[in-house]
Amino acid sequence: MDKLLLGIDFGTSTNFVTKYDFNKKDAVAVANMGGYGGTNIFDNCIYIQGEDSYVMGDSKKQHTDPENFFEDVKRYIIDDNKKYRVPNLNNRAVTAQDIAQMVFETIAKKVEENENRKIDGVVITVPYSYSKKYRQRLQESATNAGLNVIKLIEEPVAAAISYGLFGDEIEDNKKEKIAVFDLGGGTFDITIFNFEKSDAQNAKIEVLNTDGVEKLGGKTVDELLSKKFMEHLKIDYSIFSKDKERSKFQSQLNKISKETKELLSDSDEEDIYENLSINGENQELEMEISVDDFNSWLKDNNIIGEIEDALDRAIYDIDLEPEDIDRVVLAGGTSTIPIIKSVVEEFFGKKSEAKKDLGELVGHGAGILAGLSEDSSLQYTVIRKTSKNIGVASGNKFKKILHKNTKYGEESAQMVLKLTNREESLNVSFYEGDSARIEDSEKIGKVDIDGSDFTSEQIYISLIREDKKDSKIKAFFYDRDKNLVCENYLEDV
Amino acid sequence: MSKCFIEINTLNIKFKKLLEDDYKLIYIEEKQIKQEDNSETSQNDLSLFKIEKNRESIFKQIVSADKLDEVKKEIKSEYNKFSEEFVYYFDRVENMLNDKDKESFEIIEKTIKNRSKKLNRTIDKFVIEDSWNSVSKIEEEFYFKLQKNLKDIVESLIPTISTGMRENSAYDGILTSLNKFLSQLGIYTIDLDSNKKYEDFSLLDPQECDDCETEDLNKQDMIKEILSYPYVLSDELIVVEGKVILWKVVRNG
Repeated sequence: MDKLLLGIDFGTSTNFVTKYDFNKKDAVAVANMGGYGGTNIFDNCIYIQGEDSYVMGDSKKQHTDPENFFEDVKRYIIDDNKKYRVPNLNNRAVTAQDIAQMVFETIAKKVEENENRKIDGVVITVPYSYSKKYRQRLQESATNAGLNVIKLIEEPVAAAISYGLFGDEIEDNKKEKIAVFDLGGGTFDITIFNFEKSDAQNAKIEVLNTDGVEKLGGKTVDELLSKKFMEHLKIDYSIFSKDKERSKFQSQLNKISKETKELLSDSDEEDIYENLSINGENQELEMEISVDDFNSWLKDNNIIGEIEDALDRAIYDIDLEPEDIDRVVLAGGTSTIPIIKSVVEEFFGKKSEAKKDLGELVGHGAGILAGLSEDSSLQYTVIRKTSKNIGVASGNKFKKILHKNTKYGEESAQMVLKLTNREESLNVSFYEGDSARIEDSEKIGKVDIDGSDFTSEQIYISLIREDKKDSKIKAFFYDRDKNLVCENYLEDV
Repeated sequence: MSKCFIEINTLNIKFKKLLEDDYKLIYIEEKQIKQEDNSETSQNDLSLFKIEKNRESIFKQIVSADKLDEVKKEIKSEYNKFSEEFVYYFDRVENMLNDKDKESFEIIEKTIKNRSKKLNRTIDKFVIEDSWNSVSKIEEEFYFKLQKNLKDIVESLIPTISTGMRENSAYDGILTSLNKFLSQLGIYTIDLDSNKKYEDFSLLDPQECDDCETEDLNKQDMIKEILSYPYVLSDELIVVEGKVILWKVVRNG
C-alpha cells in the first residue's frame, strides 16, 4: 500500500489538509475535516472535551463553553507566558503550543480513522516571514502529536509548486521567472521564483526574493469599508451606550463590508441598503458605491501604495525589472479585487493567472511536496533562501552576517567581530530581522564559545542555514588568521 | 352567537377564500393587540414562522442543463410575486399603521427591493462551466450560489417582522407572504428542542447574550432560548441556521 502523506496548511484562522494520491500524482483534499459540508477548509479552533478528547473546527462551541474553547493559537505559539487554564483538563494550564499539538493530534486521529491506516509523514506550511523560533515551535507541536514532519514549507513556495506542476501551464524544458502575489485575509506576501521545468517529472524552484506587508489583507479592506459606512451614517463608536451594542454593530458592519467588497469585485456599482440597530433604534444605511469610489478609497488609504512599494522592493532589490518576470500567479482571495489585480498586471506589464480555489493553493502545494518525498517518478528540487537577515548585536546596531536571500546550505561571508574578553565561557547571541536597529530584531539563539581558544580578541564569524529537514543554523568561529576554531548550532533562547 | 354575527363570519370566510384562492392576495384579519412579551407568547409567535415541507427543493427540478433557465425564471417570478404582494398589502394596510410601523414597513419595502436586484444579478450571472460533468453538479453549484442570497433575504427581513409582530398583527401578513415564497422554493423550517443536548451545532447559529451563564453542567450544549428556526431544503442543505441562545457554562473557583 502507498504511504499516507499529508500536506497541512496550518493557517491563522483556517486549516486545510491534503493527501498525496500516488496514482494521480497530485494532492487531493482530505474531506470533512471540520465536520462541515460544502468546503474542506475548516476553522483553526478546538474545543477540549477532556483528556485526549477534542472537537476541531467548530467555532460555535465557544458560545456554550468558552473556557474550554481555543482559537488563534498560531499567533501565540511562541508565547510561553500566555497560559490557559482548561477546566476540562482538571484546570491544567496549557500554552498555545500545547493547543496547537492538540489540533495536530485531532487532524491525525481524524485522517487515520477515515483512511484506516497510519500517517507516514506530513509537510506543514509556514508564512515566509516567520522566524526560526516560530517554525521550531510549530514543528515541535506536530512532532509531539506523533506526526513525522517531513519538512516545513513556506506558503508562497507551496503555492508556486501547486501552480507549476499540475495544469501544464509551464511547458517542458523551459525556465521561467514567476511572481506569486499572495494577498490573503490577513497578510500579504510577494515571492519571486526561478522555475525550471525539464519535463513533467523534473523541475527546480529557486526562491529569488520575498517581500510583503505583515498586516495587509482582506481584513484591512473590510475595516476601510466599515469606516466609510460610519462616515456616511455620521456616527462614531462613542455613541454606543454598551459594549455589547457596539460589538453587535461592529459585527453587522463587518458582514456588510465583506459582502460589499465581494460584490464590488464583480460589478460597477453597488446599492447598499441595510437596517442597522444602534442602541436599539433603527438606522438605515443607504448608499451607492461605485467601483471608482471604492478604488479611490483603496488608493487614498495607502492600501494600493503599500502593495506597489512591496512590488518595487521584491523586484528591484534583486536587480530585476518587472518585464523580467514571465508569469504572475495570484493567490489569496483578496488578490482578485479588480484594482489590486490591475495594479499587479500594470506593474509587471502582463496578465496575471489564477486558479479557481485560491484558498486551497497552499495546502495543495504542501500535499504535493509530501508526495515528492516518496514518489521517485517526480523530481522537484526547491532551492530555498533565508527570508530574513541573521546577525549579532553591535552596540544598538544589528550587524548582518547571513543576509536575506542567501541559499540554504550556503555559508555566509565571514564577519569580523571583537570579543569583549577572552574568558573561557563566552556567550554569543544571534538575532533575526530586517531593520538596522537591534531593538527591532528578534533574538533567536546563542552559542557558547571558549574565549581562550582564540589567539586574539579579533575573531571572524560566519553562519549557514542548513538545507536539511530542521533547517538548523550553524555558526563558525575563526581566529584572526581565519583558521576555524569551533563550530556550533545555535541553541534556542 | 347571533344569526347576524354568524352570517358576517360566513361572509368573511368566503371573502378570505376568494382573496387567497382566486386573487392570490393576503386576507387582513383584525386581531387584538398582543400583550407584552412573555415566554409563552414568544413561543406562540414563533409558531407562525414554521413552514411545513410541502414541496421538493426547486433545485431538484434541474434534471437537465436546459431546465436551469426554467428554474431561474421560476425563482425570479416567485420573488417578484412576493415583492408585488408586499407592495399591494402595504398599500391596503397603510392607513391602519402608526408612524413607527409605517417606518418599519418602508424599511421592509426597501429591503425587498434591494435584495431583488441582488438575487436577479446572482441568477443572471450563473452559467454552467464546462468542467461540470453532471446535472447534480449544476444543481449543487446553483444552490451554493443562491444560498447566500436566500439567507440574506431571510436574515434581513425576519428581525423587523419579528419585532413588529410583538405589537401589531399587520406584520403577520408579511410573514405569510415570505413563508409562501420560501415554501414555493421547497424551503421549510425544522423544530428545535430546548430540552435536548445538541452534539451537532450545524443547524444552530448561537447568538451573544448577557444572561445565559449557568453553573449547571447539565445545561451544557442546551438551548436557553430559540429566536428563530432553521430554514432548510433537506437534511443536508441548511439555508439559514436557527438563531438560538445557548446556555454558557461557567465554573466558579
